[in-house]
Amino acid sequence: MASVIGLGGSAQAQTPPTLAELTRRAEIIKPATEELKWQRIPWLTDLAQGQRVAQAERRPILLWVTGDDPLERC
Amino acid sequence: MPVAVNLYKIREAKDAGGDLFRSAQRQKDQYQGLWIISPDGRVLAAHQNFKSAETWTQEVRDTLASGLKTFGPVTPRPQQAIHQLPYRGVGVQPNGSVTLALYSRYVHGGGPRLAPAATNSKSLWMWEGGLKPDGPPVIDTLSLTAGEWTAFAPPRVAVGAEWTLPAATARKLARVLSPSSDQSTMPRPEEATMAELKAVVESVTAGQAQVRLTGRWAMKHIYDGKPSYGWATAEGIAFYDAGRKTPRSLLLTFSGAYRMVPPWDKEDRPIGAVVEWRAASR
Repeated sequence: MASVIGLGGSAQAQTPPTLAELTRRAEIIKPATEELKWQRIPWLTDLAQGQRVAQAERRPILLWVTGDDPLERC
Repeated sequence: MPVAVNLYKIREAKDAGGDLFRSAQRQKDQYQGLWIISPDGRVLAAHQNFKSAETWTQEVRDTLASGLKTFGPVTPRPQQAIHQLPYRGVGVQPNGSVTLALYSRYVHGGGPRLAPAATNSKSLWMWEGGLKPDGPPVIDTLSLTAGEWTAFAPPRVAVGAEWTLPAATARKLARVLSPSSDQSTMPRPEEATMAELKAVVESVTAGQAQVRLTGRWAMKHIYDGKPSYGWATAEGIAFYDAGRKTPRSLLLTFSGAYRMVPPWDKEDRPIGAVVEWRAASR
């Protein structure tokens, strides 16, 4: 298994990246602004609370269910 | 009223929310996805399996429109988004714990030097060219206890001071090796076949230590009897405030490869990941 990660050794032989270089690399990997539009939605994570609010405001519930925590907590 | 929940939790919930979900599933039996539900519990519309990636967005819009049409007129609801995880990637909680912000995704390019040594030469073309995203990102969090967080402090605030973080903490980071946030793909800490994170103080200026981080990880995750694999090396920089005796920031970037179970992946694909945190500004 160490040989599989052997490239890590060669990467470290080069000059370590600066903070600016690491930041640039991170910005490519992190979500772009357009990939975070869903965060503008005021999601609740408690369905019982959502039903109470929906009843009070007389509007339907948009329920999003996934096999993980949809809002980042995996 | 938008509500987002975890399937594994809501289907076992013993409260009114669990009852409502189970009722919705009986009316429209789908494993997960979207349901439009009236306040009194009637399913108005639902959506799970999309026809194609190209039509998926429109299918969801059509589902929402159908649900609203069935419900009747609704006035717009101006709202500011609720910040569900205020400590994600920032600050220390009152109990001393921190929540790291994690990101992971398939990438393309970055240079062949980032490809794991065992990468088939026929796959190296995926590492050529400049680094760019190749698919949607995973947005994740990882909580560290106060005790685990102390491991990020240097044993001495002096140039050359070096240490290796506890393996148990390093293993927790193995989850970034999956560019999908589904529980069927994400490795558990015990599935890390290698997890090593090292630190060394590079410089000290005005009581602030700059710490160089390097690490390597490998994992084998079994789901439904089939394995998926991930490998990565990481490079990063953290800053530590010697006066306040606390870290100030952490940025760790990962470069590696991931191979999902067949038939999804027949070869390793490049991945990139980021772990970051910063102290709350005053």
